[in-house]
Amino acid sequence: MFLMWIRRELLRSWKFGLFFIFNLSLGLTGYISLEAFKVSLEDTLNQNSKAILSADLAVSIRRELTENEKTALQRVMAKDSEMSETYEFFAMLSSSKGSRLVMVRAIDENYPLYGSLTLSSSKVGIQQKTPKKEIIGSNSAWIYPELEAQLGLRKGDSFQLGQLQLKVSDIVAKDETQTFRAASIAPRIFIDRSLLAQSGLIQFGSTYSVNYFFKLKNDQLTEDRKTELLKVFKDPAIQVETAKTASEESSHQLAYLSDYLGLVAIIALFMSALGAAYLFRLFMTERVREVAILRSLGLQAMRAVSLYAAQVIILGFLSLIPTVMVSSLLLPLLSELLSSLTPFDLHPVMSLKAVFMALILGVIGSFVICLPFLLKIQDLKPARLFAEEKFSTSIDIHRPWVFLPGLILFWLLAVAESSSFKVGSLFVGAFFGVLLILYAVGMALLVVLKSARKRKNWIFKYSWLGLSRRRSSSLAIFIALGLGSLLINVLPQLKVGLQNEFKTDAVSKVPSLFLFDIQDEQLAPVQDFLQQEKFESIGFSPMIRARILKINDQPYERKSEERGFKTREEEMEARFRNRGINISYREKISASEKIVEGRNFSGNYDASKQKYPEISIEAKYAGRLRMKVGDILQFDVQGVQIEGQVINLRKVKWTSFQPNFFILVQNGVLNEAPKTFITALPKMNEAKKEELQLQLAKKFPNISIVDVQRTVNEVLKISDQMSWSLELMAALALFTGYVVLYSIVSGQVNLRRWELNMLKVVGAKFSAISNYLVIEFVTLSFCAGLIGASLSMVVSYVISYFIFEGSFIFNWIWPILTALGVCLLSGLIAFFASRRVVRESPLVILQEER
Amino acid sequence: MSLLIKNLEKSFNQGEDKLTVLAGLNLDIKNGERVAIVGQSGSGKSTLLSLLAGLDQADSGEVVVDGVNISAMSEEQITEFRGQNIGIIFQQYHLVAHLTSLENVMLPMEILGRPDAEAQAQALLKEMGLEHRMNQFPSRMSGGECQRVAIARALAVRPKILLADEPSGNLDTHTGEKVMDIFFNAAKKYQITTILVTHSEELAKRCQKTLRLCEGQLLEV
Repeated sequence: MFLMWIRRELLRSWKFGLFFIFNLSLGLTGYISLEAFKVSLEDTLNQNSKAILSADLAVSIRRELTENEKTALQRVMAKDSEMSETYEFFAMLSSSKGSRLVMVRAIDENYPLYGSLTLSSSKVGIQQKTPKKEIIGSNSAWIYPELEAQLGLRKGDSFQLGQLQLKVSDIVAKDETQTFRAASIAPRIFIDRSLLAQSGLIQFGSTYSVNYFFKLKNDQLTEDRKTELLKVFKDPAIQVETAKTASEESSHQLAYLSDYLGLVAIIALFMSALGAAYLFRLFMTERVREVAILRSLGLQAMRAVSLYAAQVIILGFLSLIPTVMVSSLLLPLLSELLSSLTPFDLHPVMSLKAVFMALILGVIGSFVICLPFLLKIQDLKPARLFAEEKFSTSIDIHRPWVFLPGLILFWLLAVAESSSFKVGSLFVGAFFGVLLILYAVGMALLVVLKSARKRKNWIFKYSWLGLSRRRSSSLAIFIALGLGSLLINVLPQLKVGLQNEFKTDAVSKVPSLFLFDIQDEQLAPVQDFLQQEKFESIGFSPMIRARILKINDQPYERKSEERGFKTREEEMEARFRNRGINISYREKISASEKIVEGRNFSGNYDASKQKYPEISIEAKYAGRLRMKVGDILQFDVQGVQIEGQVINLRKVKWTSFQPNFFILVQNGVLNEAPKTFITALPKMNEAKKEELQLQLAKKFPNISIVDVQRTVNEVLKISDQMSWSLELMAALALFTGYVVLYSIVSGQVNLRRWELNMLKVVGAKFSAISNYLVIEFVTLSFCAGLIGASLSMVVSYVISYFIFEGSFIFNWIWPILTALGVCLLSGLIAFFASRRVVRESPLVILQEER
Repeated sequence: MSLLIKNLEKSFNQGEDKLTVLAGLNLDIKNGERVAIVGQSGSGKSTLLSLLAGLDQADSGEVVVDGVNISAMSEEQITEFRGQNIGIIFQQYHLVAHLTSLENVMLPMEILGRPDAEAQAQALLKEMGLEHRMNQFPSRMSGGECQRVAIARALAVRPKILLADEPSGNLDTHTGEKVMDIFFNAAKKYQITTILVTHSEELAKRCQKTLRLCEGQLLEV
């Protein structure tokens, strides 16, 4: 009987049901598509994790292992594994057509132990041990296709790399040992490791890493071996990676991006939930009288609640069908936008996990958002049927706690999506802060609109009075529109700010070239050369390789998490902690730095007066590693232990591309330590830049040169790719916003058919009735659009300030266009909805029971 | 304003059957005349009233108001005509819920762009004995009060014709009588041609002419 009632009710209200499903599935679509994409990416990375690392386990360090360390490594690994040893470093490649910074991977015969390098003429890897790697034992190299494009290098062409004269043996078509390929600042080349000695590229202080790759006979032992190695290697700068951690590490940029995409998807989900809840409210408003009658006939309150709860749950379940269908269509588009960020062919499919998520969210989500209205059924007093006054069909919410389950669900989703308790909570906090502001501004607007009673024009007067008197629906529309405008504005605002940052600096301060690995003895010759060529260097900064031994007498240990990091914060801290550091020394901080806590250096170090040398730390770095002013740090600099005290925390403007460091030591402490230098050269034209690179590469082959503008362009290209996918998700959120708006407007118009027709009965023209409705929605949407767009400025500014270090620029065109667009679309929706109603016969409507 | 009905026909489809409600109905009402239409439930009284108000279209026949055939008007034209000339009172009051009683009465005058809408509405409500309820919303008022507001609204534009469908049908006897006193006094005072649809013989007697609607035809009682 009960089931029959449910079936009958669902069939009777099929229009509501369909629209409810449509609303809900729209929000779920973005979220579930992203989930499916993540699952697919995770699967691909897991399947290819050994290929990414090109080993089961790898040990890497930015220096040579000591004899003791080598022995320890042999002891743990040699017994049951195959090994490949490679070196990786930046160097300048010079050909007759120019010079480019390249990332050299010097390999041996065994490389890669897993995965493959697809060359334009063959495939080298585990699948094909033969043919023989042509570069081994010969003065030749495999190069990335970018070099073919940039320098016109073809198979058989010659080029210079350090002291080596090499020939292009082949072009790499696909490299499975790299995941986030767009992020690299220099194209890779592969050479034989045995050529390193004669290349002269690895000298003291050069920036390079040595990698020992291992393929275990029994890969089940990987984690045990890792644990053993971590026990024997005390230096946290020695990285021990397994295939699993390497795939996680290599895809972390993509993971961050999908975290933020997830947050945007949650907003779309929230808006669709808002729409669905509003539709259910309208539905219950129509049903409340019926429920009262049923209750008066003996239906128990809980049974009445169950009757409608069951309908909501069924509708939530049914929303799975369009969600999965549309997500399957959206997935290829999403993967197309993001596929350029990974070398793997991603073919995301709707996974069971994603379908299950959609089911849970659809069912639980529907129930949670409708709970406030369901509980109202329980409170319904059938006795009001006897009241002389008209039976009130409005549903008011007097118990704020009924919103709690929805809030908790939203918060849990945000934390899960961002993989960060902090980011998730901040996001929810900021989101509700914005909601609160929109609510407050909306309320203020409705108070202002009350003064419309003095207006002469009846259309304006009653439109505005109506808005102020139908408070809850007016506020719901205001908030939905405000949020939509905010969302669509934030991303373009940030993008403009970021692009402008690079653009402005490109004109003024950003250097053209960045030179590093300048040896101590090369300092004077390089300075002379630059002087001869009439180049003014921005200044030479010394760079000293060091490692932190202790902080406040506590050993500074590596941080690892065998089962992966639970949050992004943990992951970030471990990444910073585990890498080696480059420190520098200066007399004072540079123009691109600002002290945020503590004081400046007191001058040169004076051992007779000072207990400790002074240290300056970059503020974010200090925050991640929990260092503060007053801490005592102990370093190992090439075997010599040095102690120092943190005297200040600095904020660094990294986008200035000036030589900057996380840790600076007071002048006079490390001046005699073995070091290299880095410098930057100011802006110059392209031709001069090409010529200078070529000359520098010939004269000082070990010095690496970064073309800053090219790097900036690469970064912008990546940020463009990323922002496209974010914009796609934001567009989905906005579209959801409009569907919610449509739901609300048509729901409102439907609910007010009687009122609008009453205007016809008392003689209002059709055009006046349309205007009456259009003015209502245009007023609301214009104010909401304006407030949303203004709030987007504040949000963009806050994000720019905290994340991009103040690269915000006020862009007024986009917010105004958004406000006008929101206004125009709302007006159109209201206009078409009103046309439908004015065409109806007033008699039919007046005869309907109110 | 005179009202002439010629051969008015209206039927409804009920499944495969056709139910004829008005079968070539004729009627001539003089300017200022008050006519009661009585009849059994379902006899078509309300249908006739909605055709006279231009809220529905007849199958055939004409409704001529002061020489103007309103049956031939478009919906837009009839809406404008109704706004200027016809006042309607419903059994269910049909007040706009989010407007106060004063605003409900001002609304038709404002739609026509009449000056002094507020003063006139206040005067009308005072006449209805509602001076203390002017800023109340309909949901806060009793049935009798709502119906008095509805009468004031119907009279607001000084209509030439007043159509009333069981105005006291939802009210208790005492309140009903009070409301109908106000209704008849206003109709007399403003010399409005009035058509009152009612079940009550008592109310019908207060009109100058009573007609019974039976089998689609009007018979003088």
